Parts: sequence; structure tokens; C-alpha cells
Amino acid sequence: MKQEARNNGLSRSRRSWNNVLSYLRQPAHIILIVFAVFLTLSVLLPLLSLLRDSLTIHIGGEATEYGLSVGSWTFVHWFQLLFNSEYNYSIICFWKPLLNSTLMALVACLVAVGFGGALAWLVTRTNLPFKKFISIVFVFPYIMPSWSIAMFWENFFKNSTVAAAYNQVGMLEAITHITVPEWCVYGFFPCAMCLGIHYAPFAYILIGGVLRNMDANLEEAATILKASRFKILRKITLPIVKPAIVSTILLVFASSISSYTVPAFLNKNGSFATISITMTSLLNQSTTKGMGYALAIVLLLLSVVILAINSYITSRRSSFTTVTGKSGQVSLINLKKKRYVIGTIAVIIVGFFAIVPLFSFAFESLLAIPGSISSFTWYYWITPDQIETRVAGDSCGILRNATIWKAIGGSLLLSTIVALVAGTSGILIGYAVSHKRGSRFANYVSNLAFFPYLIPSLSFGAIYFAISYMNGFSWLHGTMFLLIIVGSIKFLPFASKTGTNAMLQVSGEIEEAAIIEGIPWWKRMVRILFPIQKSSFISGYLLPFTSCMRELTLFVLIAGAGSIITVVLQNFEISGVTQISNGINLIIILIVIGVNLLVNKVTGASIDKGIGG
Amino acid sequence: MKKIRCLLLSAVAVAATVGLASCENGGDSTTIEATIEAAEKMSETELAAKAVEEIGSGKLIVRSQTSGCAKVLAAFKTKYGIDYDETAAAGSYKDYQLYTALDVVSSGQYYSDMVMIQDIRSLKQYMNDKILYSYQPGDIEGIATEDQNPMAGIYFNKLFMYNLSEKNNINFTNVWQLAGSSSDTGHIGHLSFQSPSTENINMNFLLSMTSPSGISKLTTAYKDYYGADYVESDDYANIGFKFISEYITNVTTFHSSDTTAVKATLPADTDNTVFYCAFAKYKDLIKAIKTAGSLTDEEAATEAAKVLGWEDQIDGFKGFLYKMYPMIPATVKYPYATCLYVRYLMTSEGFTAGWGGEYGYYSANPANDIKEGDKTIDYWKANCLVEDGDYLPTVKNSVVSFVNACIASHS
Repeated sequence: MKQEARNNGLSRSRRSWNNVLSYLRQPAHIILIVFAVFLTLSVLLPLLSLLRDSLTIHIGGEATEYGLSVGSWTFVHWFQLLFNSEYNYSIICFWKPLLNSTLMALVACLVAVGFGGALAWLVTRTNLPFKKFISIVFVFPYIMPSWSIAMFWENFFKNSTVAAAYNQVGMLEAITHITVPEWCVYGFFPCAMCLGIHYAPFAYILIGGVLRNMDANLEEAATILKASRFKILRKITLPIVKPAIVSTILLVFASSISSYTVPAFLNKNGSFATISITMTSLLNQSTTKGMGYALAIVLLLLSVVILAINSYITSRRSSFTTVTGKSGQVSLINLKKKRYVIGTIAVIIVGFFAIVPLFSFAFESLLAIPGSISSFTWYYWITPDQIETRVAGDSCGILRNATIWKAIGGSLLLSTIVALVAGTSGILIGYAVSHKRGSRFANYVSNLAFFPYLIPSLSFGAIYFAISYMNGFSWLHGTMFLLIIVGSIKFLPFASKTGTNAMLQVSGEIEEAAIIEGIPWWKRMVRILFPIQKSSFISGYLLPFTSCMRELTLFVLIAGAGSIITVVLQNFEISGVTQISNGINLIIILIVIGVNLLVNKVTGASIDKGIGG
Repeated sequence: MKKIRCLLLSAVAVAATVGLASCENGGDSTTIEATIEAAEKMSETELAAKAVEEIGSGKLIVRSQTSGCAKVLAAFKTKYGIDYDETAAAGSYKDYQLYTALDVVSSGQYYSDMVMIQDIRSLKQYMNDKILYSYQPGDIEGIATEDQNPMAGIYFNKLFMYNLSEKNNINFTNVWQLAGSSSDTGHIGHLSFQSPSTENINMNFLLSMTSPSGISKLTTAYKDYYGADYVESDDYANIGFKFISEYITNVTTFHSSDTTAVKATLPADTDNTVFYCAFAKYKDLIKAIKTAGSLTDEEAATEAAKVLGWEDQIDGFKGFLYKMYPMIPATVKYPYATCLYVRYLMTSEGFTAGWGGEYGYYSANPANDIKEGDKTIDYWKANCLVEDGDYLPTVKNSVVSFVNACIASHS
């Protein structure tokens, strides 16, 4: 009305200018514009590059193979991938592995949401004992690389009846003399389980954050009206946590379907072909790179379908608000006598998958001959001798190795900056998207913010590697700044999803009261919104930090030899000094755990405390 | 407002697409070829003088898939006073990482002065596309014809090996024991092999079965093993395809790392398993034994020799012999210094600095020494399937599809 009154009697250009000013006065609009431009350039470019790579002939043999010139446009890669009937290639190497991977990812989602969601509910909504321990320890499986859980699974379940494991006796058989069949050790089931366990903390964090802030009056009102526990869960609790569940499924599905290390590790019997292994195989060969890029697009499209479902579900419901201006209280369900039984079971399961693998890592770094207890030695931790490796600089024992500690410093710096950039951007995007929910522009920014997660890390890193060699961008090459840009974009999806979910929970009336009082936007963010959703926002910082600390594939082409710890780790791994690489892995995990505890100490909030620990 | 937003984003997207499409431009291949040709005709003294003048206070950038190159660079610097980038030299690269990185050379960008790279199948394509060039020192004699153009730097071998433990009872005399069926006499039922989906050298090993040399060796070994000539069938295009299919079916374990297999798994195996692994990993087994038992080098070598069985005479082939090549990218900054470095690593002094005294490393210059106790390069050429640089680049994707289909159907 005010704007209309101002516009009456003005020229058209003046009216337009007023409209622009009015538009830009809203912080949500400015945020959307800034991120729309930035993400279009930084995300759309790799996407278009990936698409182009799936439709052009590359250097390295494709020209000879297909009789076309390098750089020419063609659908041959797609045809070869989808419809090649020679040796039933497309069926055996594409369609069947695609089905395998999709089913594996879906089961992993089930395990992650079921396990993580159930635990989140127990911790936030009941009087379960040992909450602090469970909350602190349950995030460990995500902090560990997924292949370490796979390695632990194999070491635990392999036994003398499994030929693919060289008939070696694993922990279960050694302790209990129980042997499990081969399908429990290698193949579909263990891959799905390991991925589900690895990503269960996602569900725990996202669902738990929503449950923590949910007003218990809703459930209590239903109880008074004599609704059964199951009905309350179905009609009240689940609908409220639906966006968190869908976000978890989205993140877990996208990660699981393209997971390479777990299926590579747990497919020693060659019985379970997955699409990620096919993709790696295609990208490895210079005559099939185009097919590899086409496959990357297919994976991306699958995840886009889930993204579309997510958008549809969140846009249908009018509100997911759980935090309002009215007082909210949390009352816990009394588990009565069963609380200690349930608590003990939870502690055993969580401890088993979270702590035992850490000991396994530590142990492997102390054995000169892997798997041979008689070769126990502190050598790889304390020796001053220069071990023969291809690592630049020091290659002595871990504790004395200046190269390792310098690289750890580099990784900490990189991960901290990436966490701050991605986390803050995620909050801002979440704010803008929640305020303009349903608008096409907000959907565009929200979806674009998630796309980096869907692009394979190898391709993403390779694209920015190529950009760093282009005229005008060569100053980026080999710099920490390039790593920060790539890391911030790649890990933005975590932060944007948690930021959006957190903002969707907050009722508009809280901010409206502050607006009426004339409080500036930045103060509303810092003094009101951030403190209310501190636990969710902290997750938005810690998830990129954790992912960045243990990321290798994304940075392997663009990072210098000793600049970050994961590259140093690979060098030791390739040099055959697996003891040191296992030791480095242990250090990375302990550092991330330590940072989590430090954040808890400094801010008073952390993932575990926010969810009821 | 909506229109302004749409226009803004469309402009950005178009700019991005145009930018992407305009990335391709090439380097000057004629100059590099001429420079390399000139360097090939120079003596060591002439080349050294030219190299020092060319590089001045600059640094040579060498990226390699073998750690020995960094050691050679250190010795090279001591001898000629030419400095090098230590960080680049110490980097570790897998095949696809290095080939992906080399793609920037096609757009005229400088990446490296030299790359030491394997996988002849990809390499030949990059040479055809004028991304990589080979330098052949004119004054080093004795390099075999098959090791020229591109010039091979180092040979490696992957062998069939097993644990010599008394609990094992392996009598491995014919390569067809790894194929066929369990009802065949002497059939070896446990085979550990790194998946060719992720290990290009193993893919090339399998593809080599269909080469003229591979077919010849397999046919002779078939007759020795089954006592009858191989009869062509409709199931397989030739005997090589048959062997690939049966060999992959026979694999019990697709191990993920040759180093772990040789260092840890093989020494503990009592299941009559044959491992197909890089012979160069023998040194890792010796080091592991040395560290575990706090032994001297000689004691550890003696103990390792009691564990690792590799010297059997096997009809057909004992394994696969492949090469690593010192190649010069088209956008090299210091071509003369690079040629001098390549020349140096082909000499006895250079090779010894990088790879001397270890099992499994052989110079393409037969004048350079091998590890005492190892076999000569001529022995391995006669007893292994050798990487055929003329055949492998001609292998069509259909053969690769066959191999991948066999692996994906494995159960």
C-alpha cells in the first residue's frame, strides 16, 4: 500500500526503480540473488561441463574407436552405455549394476533412517539412560571413512568357510566359533549395512534436531484424547519430522548410490557389481571416458528425482513449524523398567560400530605385517629412520614426522575455512528459502545448492583443475584458495539442507516481533534465530568440516603433494606403508572428535548436546 | 523483476557455455618435435650445455608413477646442477589421474616437463593426439627395437606367486591350470587377482591374451596341458577369449592392493592360493619381515625367500611384463633439460640411483644392472607375456566390454 501510494503520480522508470529498491530491501531477496549468480557460475559450469563431456569425443583413443574427430558432438557414449548388446554389455555392466546400486542405496537409507531415527527418538523423547555417551559416540561412524567400517565388517565376519577371504579366521569365529555364510561377508547385504551405519548419524542429527524442538503439547493432547502410541507416532510425530526424513533419504541415497570404496572393499568375491565400480572402470580407460561421464549424468538424474520428490513434499505441506512464540516444553516418555535394558542394548550396538573400528585402526598401525599380532611394533609411530616412500620431505615415524603434522595443519585450516564459508552460506540460503518457500526462485537456489553433492567428486575436482589452467585463472592453480572454493561448493549441500530444515521449523511470528521493534536483520539473525536453532546450525558447520577433513578424491588433482593430510595419506598408502596411513586415519578421526568436543566447550552447543545428550 | 532475474541468469549460463566451448586450443607440436629431434643427435656434453643454458635458475617439473624418478632427480641435480621441483617429484599419481591432468596440455597449458607413465594403450593415443612425445638418446646403444618409439624407461613384471609354506601343495607348471575346470588335472582352484576394472595393467594383461603373441603362447600351453590341439568354437572368437573367460571365472578373490597381498596375505596363506601381483612388491615383504623381526637386510631377504615362491617354470607364461615410459608433454618449458634427464635415467648411474638393487625393476637399457638373485630382462621377455605396444592400442572397446562383462557376471 505504502509502495503503491509512493508510486502514484510517478514516471514509469521511477516506479520501476522504486520497485527494485523495495525488492532489494528484503534480505531474503538479496541472499537469493547473490547465491543464484554465484551458484549458477560455480555449479552450473561443472554440470554443463559434465554434460558436454558425455556428448563429445575426448583425447586418448575415442577418436580412433568411433572414427570421429576429437571434440565432435555425438550420442555414441550414451548408446554404448545404454544399448550395447555385444556380450550383453549394457545389461551386465550398466542396467544390472544400476539396479544393484539403487537397491543397495535404498536399503542403506532404510538402515540409516531406521537406526538413526529410532535412536534420535529414544534420546530426545524418552528417559533413556546413557544419553550423553550415545550422543557423543554415535557420530563416530560418519567421522570414519566408509571403507574403514567396511574393513572392520570384513575383519569381524570373515571366517574359515569363506574362500574369498582366503579362509582366514575373523573376530567372530575366533571368539565364538560361529561362522556366517559368504553373503554376510561380501556382496549386497554387507555393503548396504556398512553404508547405512556410516550415514545413520545423518538421520540422527537431522531427525533429532527436529524432535528436540518439537512442542510436546501436541503429543500430550493426543494422549489425553486416548490416542495410541502408534497413532501419535503416525499422525503427529512422523509428519513433523517428514522433511528431515526426506532430507536424510536424499543425502544418504545420493551418497550411497555413488559410493565406490565400500563396494570395492566388500566385493572381493566379485559377486556384486555396482554402478560406481562400472563408472570408475570407464573413467579409468582412455577409450571409455565419455561413457563414464554419461554414467555420472545418470547417477545425477537419479538423485534429481529424489530431490524433486523432496521439493514436492516440502512444498505441499503448509508448515513444518515446531518452534513458535508460544512456550514449548519437552516431556519425556517414561520407558519404565525397560529403560536400562534398551539403554544397554543401544550402548552395545553404538559402541560396537563406533569404538571398536577405532581400535582396529590403531592396531593396524602397530603391526609390521598386517594381521600378524606377533609383528607388533611402535616403529611406524616413533622411528627417526627415514622409511622409503615417495613422500616429499619427512618419512619417519608419525609422531616425529614434520611433513605429516604440517599437512594436518593444512587440512585443519582448509576444513575450518570451508566449514565457516559453507556453514554460513547454508544458514543464509536456509533463511532465504524458508522465507520465500514455494517461489520458483527459492526452489532454483535451493536445488542448485544441493547439486554439487550429486556431481562425482572426481569429476568435480577435474573440472576445477582444468579451470585453474585456463587463461585468467592460472593464479588459482595449486593454491589453498582453489581448495577452499572447491570444498565450500562441494560441501555446501550439507549446510544448506540443515539450514533450510532449521529455518522451516521456526515460526515467522518470532522474527515478526523483532521486525516490528525495528531490530536490523543481522541482529535478528545473530541474537534470535541463531540461538534458537543453534544445534542445527552447528551441525551445518560441523558436517562440512568432518567431510572436508577426510576428503581425498575431490582434492587429489588440485592439491599439492604435502598440502593436506589426505594426499599425504595416499602417498604413504601407494608407497605400501599402510601402517602410517592407518595411523594418519586414526589421527584424522581423533581430531574431528576433538573439534566436536571443543565446539561443545566453547559454544555450549554441539551436535550431541543439542539432541539431548 | 522476474524478467530481470531470468535475463541475468540466462546471461550467466550462456557466458558459461561459451567459455566452456572456447577452451580447446593446442600447443606448437612442430617446435617440440624439432627440438627433440635435435636433442637426439647431440652428445651428452652438447646436450648438458644446452640444458643448463636453457633452464638457468628454473626448476624442472617431473611427475611420475614410480618413486624412483625423485631419487634420479636428486642424483641428476648433483651431476648437472639442474634444480627440480621436489613437491611435484614426490607426488603420487594413478593412471587416470595423470592422464586426466594431461588433458590440459591439449589446450596449450603447461603441466609438466616430463611424465613417467604406464599403460601403453592410453599412451599411444596421447602420442597420436600430439599431447606426448618420446625422446630417444642417440648415443645409448643396445635398446631393443620394441623398446623404441615410444622409448621405454623401465620394465616391471607381474607374476604368479604363492606361499612356499609346507602346508601348501602347489605344483604350478602350466598357465591353463588357472583356467579350465576343477575336474582338470592340477587345476588351481584359488586365484587372487586385482580387478582390471580398477587396475589398467591387469586389464592390459587380459587384453594381451588376444594378441598374436598371447594366442601363440596359449595355444602351445593348451596342447601341453590337455594333450590335444585347441579347436576353435563359436563360443569364443579365439583361444585368448576362452582363457580370459575361464581365468576370471576361476578368480576366488579380487584383492584391492598388490602390496597388501604380497606383504600380508600371501605369507599367511595355506590354502594353495596363487597370487598375481607386482614382483616389485617383493621389497615390501622383505621390509615388513625386517621390521617385524628387527633383522638385518640380509636376514630379512633370506626369510622372505623362504616365503615367496616365484621361480617355477610355467608353460605359457609366468606373468606379464610391462613398461613405464618417460614422456615429454607438448607444452614442455625446458625441452633440452628434460631430454638430458631422460638420457640420464637410461644410464647405469641414473637407473641405479632410482631403482638399483631391488627385485622387479629392469632398465630398458640392457647394460644396466639388475638385482642380484633376480632374472635378466631377456629371461623375463622370454618367459612372460610382454606388453605389445603395437597391438594394445588397436584393441577395440568390444574386447574391453568382454572382459568387463566376464567380471560383472562373476559369481
